[in-house]
Amino acid sequence: MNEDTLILYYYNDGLSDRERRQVETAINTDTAVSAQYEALCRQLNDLSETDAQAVPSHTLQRWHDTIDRAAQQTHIRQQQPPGPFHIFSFAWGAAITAALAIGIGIGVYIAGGDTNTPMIELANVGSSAGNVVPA
Amino acid sequence: MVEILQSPGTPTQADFHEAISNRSDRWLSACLKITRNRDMAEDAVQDALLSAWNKRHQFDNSARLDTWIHRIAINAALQLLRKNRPAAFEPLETDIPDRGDTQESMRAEQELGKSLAAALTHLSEFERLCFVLKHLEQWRLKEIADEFDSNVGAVKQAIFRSVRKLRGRMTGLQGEQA
Repeated sequence: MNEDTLILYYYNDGLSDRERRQVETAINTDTAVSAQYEALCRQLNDLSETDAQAVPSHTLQRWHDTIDRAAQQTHIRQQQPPGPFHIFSFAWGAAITAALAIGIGIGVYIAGGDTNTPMIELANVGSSAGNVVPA
Repeated sequence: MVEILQSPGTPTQADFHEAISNRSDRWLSACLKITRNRDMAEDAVQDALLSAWNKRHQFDNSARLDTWIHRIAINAALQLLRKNRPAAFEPLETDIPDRGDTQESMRAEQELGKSLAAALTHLSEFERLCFVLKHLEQWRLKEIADEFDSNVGAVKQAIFRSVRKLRGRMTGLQGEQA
């Protein structure tokens, strides 16, 4: 069997369900394929050594310090009282919101002018309906 | 150690220290296999720790903290490598034969030690990264392809080539050791 297919089978990735079943059948029924796959597994497992590099003590200390410093900053942020009320920021925000509201209002008014129902008529209907006196 | 207000399940400062003490050698080894440069690998672990601390509220408590940091460290290593050696992320159209013992590979072997890490120095950058992410880090082919803005087919080919070269190398090394 094609070794590339067996590699993908080993990784359980990159093969369709049908292809996986075909490989599985071949491994279970064909002794040559079974031996080929066993040898491949052995070699790939040998490539899985988990050799850990020793970390020099000064580097290890640097990483511990990184966490301590980050925690310290978090602590300082948590201790700080909420910021004061900024009147200028508020004024700017209010002005921008007002300008936006006026802009939207003008836009709606202009768009309303294109429809077949004039705004003025709608206003009249509303006002007369409110003045109806029951018989 | 400072006292920090946090929601239950969020890893604490002590949890981070414990993970560093127990698992940082694994993070460094993994990053070293990606970057092949000790300074870059150490920086990647440091960046990962800081990033993990800042995002600790996103940590899924059902997972292990050290595994989570490991994954962040790999991403940090890839990010650093992309910045420093962008060519490593370009898949090659054709197979590059093992160049044998070059000056560069011998220097890397000195840094990384013998065996697998040494054998990895004989792969092209793209092959090495694909192999490390697939074989050692168990990423999905699609994830690797996305990381490199490549396609699954190119990643598969790189892995097939790596396995072929590494099997040859490892057999040779085992023969030398026997």
